[in-house]
Amino acid sequence: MGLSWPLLVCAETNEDKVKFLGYHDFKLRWTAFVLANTTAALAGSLYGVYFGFVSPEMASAARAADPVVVTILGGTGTLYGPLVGALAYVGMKDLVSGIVGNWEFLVGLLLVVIMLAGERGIWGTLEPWVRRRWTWRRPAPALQE
Amino acid sequence: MDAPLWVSGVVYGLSMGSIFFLLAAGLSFCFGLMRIISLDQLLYYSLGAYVAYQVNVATGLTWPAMLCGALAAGALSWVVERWVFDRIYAREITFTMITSFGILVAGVGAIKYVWGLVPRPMGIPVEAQVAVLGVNVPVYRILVIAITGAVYAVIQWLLNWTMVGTAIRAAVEDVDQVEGLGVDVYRLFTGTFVGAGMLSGLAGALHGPLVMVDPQMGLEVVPFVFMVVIIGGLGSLKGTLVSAFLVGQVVSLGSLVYAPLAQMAPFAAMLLILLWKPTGLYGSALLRR
Repeated sequence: MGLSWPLLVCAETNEDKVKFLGYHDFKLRWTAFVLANTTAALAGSLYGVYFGFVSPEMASAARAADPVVVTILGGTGTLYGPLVGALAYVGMKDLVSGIVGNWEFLVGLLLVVIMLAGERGIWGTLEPWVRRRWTWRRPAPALQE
Repeated sequence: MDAPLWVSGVVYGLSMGSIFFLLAAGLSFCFGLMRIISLDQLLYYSLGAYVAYQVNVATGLTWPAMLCGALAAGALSWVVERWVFDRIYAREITFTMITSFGILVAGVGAIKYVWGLVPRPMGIPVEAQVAVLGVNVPVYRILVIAITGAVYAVIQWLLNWTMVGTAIRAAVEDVDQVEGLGVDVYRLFTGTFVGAGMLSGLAGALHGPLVMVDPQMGLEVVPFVFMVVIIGGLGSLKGTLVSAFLVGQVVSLGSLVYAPLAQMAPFAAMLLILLWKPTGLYGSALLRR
């Protein structure tokens, strides 16, 4: 069966309609779920190769929060959201910990401020603006009478 | 396996469960009433422990120090509610989770800045031991269980016999309807949040003498507290009490049978219970808003 981004968006917006169109709703979700977890596994294997060691601590509760934070920070349900969120979160940590030793306090505060500022995350807020600025598709010409 | 070990194991599990209950009750109510996941309860837990430790060191008193811890935690939760949560109640639930995670990280950072990274030992109020079924058990653990029982009774009384409690129970079901009746639900939210913060602070202060007070102590109990909330059923106080004691026992007795079970057994128990009852032991169908 075909799995495409628009189809997944459809499934999120209107489950019944996707079923009605003849797609197997559960299979769709299942595939997306498996795909997402395979990506997570890829992240784990890359981590192992990069740092040269693995331990059960990799799944500790303290780390479990990070992916969720990154996702929400970037903006859920957007393609580039997690990328932007990851860059922002890790960059924030890196930058702040370079300036002050006690980085946790500042990073936490920054996180709260960013969360209060926008409801859709960083990319969710920026996306319309970026699209308007660097769109490669010209807007449809106005209808001529 | 000999009997004395089991008796002390059960008492240990009950006192552990008491701490879990005090923490999880706040979380459960924050979810039930305001539909927020308040990870910052774990900050109030740490703060309660640290303030209790500090007052204990400064004055030598123990029980008043714990009260101070709970009050300090309540005060901080009031500030956080006014400044942060008041603005984001209307937003999605994952959103509140990340915001409160930010508060938790910031708070842990502040605690590390003030008190340093080294775990601190805290004075125990009652050193004595008492014989239970022929086994010596610390009195303090039994007192922790008794205090939790009293707290549970007080909360039940508040919920069932006062006007505010009635409003809270109604708002868990349908907050719009309650607002329509002329109740200022945001004051209700503030009150509940501060109450939850104080309970968390009390949990931290009571747990302080049993473990070392250290900055990461809030993060260590995260999995267990969430487990308690989920097993008990969201928004149900009785369910939270039952599941807190259940998880406490599973951790304590599981580690007696086979040491690594302490980490693993609670998750297995949660999985089985959720397969049997997807909404938790006492939870009604998940309320959506």
